[in-house]
Amino acid sequence: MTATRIEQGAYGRSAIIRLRPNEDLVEGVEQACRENGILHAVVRSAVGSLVDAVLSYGGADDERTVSARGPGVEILTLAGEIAPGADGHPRANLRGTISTPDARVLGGRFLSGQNSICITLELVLQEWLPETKAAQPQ
Amino acid sequence: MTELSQSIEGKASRRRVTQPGAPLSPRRLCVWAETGQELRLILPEGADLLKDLAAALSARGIKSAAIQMLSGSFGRVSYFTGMIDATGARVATYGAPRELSGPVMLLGANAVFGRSEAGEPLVHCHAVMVDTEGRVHGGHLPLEGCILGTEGAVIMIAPLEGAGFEVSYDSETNYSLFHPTASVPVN
Repeated sequence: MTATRIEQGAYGRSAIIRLRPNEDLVEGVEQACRENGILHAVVRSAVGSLVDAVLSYGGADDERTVSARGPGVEILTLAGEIAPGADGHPRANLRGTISTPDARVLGGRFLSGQNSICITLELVLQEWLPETKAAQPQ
Repeated sequence: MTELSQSIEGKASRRRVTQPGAPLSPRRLCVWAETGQELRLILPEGADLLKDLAAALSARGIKSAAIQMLSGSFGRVSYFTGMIDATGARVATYGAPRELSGPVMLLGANAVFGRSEAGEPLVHCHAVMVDTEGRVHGGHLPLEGCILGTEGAVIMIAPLEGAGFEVSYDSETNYSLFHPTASVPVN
C-alpha cells in the first residue's frame, strides 16, 4: 500500500479539442497533449463516437475487458485525467460509459490503442497546475 | 457501403473506418480558451433540458461551455444510439428514437455548448439514465423534448472564453460538426 499523497494546485486554461476519425481515443488525446504542451489536465466534458470499443474492468492483476462492435458506439460519459507517465510524457487515464448500436450500456477504462474514433470526439481538458513537489507531504 | 479495415501492427490492432470524404489535416485540433467563472445551474421540474440549458447560458452571454450534469430526473425522455448508415452517405447514423416514460433517473451526462452554422446556441449532449425497471440506458439526447421530472437537474458549467465550439461542415465525414474555433475579436 502506498502512502496518501496530496497535490496542491489550481485549475488553469481549457483546451478545446477535436479528434478526427480513426484517431485512437487514448493515444490521440495523449498526442494532442504532447503537441500542445499539456502534462497535467482533467477531463471537463467529452462527446463523441467510436468505431468499436474495448474497455477494461476488474483488478490490475485480473484485468478483464468488455468490447462493443460498431461503427457508431456512442461515448456517453468520459472522466479522467492527463498526468505524466514514468517517461515524463503525458498519459491519459480515461474511463466512462458507452452505448452500443443495440442500446446496451457498458462501462470501464478505455484501453490504449483499441478505440478508434468514428465520427468525432469533442473534448474539453482543463489544465491542472500543481505547485512544487515541496508542497506535498512525503 | 461502409468499409472497415484492420491492420495488424504488433499485438493490438483496431478497426479503422473509411469515411465518405478524403481525410483532412490536422488529425487532432486544439485551441486554447480561458476558463470563465464556473456556474452551478439548477433547472426545475418541467424544464425542457437542452432548450432551457441553452437559453440560460445565452441569457448570461455565454457562447461556449464544457458541461457536466450531476443529477436529475426526467418525466419523459428519448435518446438515440448509433448504427451503420446503410445508404453509405456516412459511416454511421442514428437509429429511431427510443422513448422512455418517467420517472427516469439521470445518472450522468456530458455536453458541449457552442454555436451552430447559423450562429445560434447549440448543445450536444450524451446521457446515461436508469428507468423505472432498473434498466440502464444511454445515448444522444434530442434538442427538444427531454422534460425534467420532480428532481429537476443540477448542471455544472465551465464557460469557455476567447475560443469555443462552432459548427462547420466536415467533408470527411459528411456531417456538420463542432470544431474548436478561436473567437474573432469584435471591432
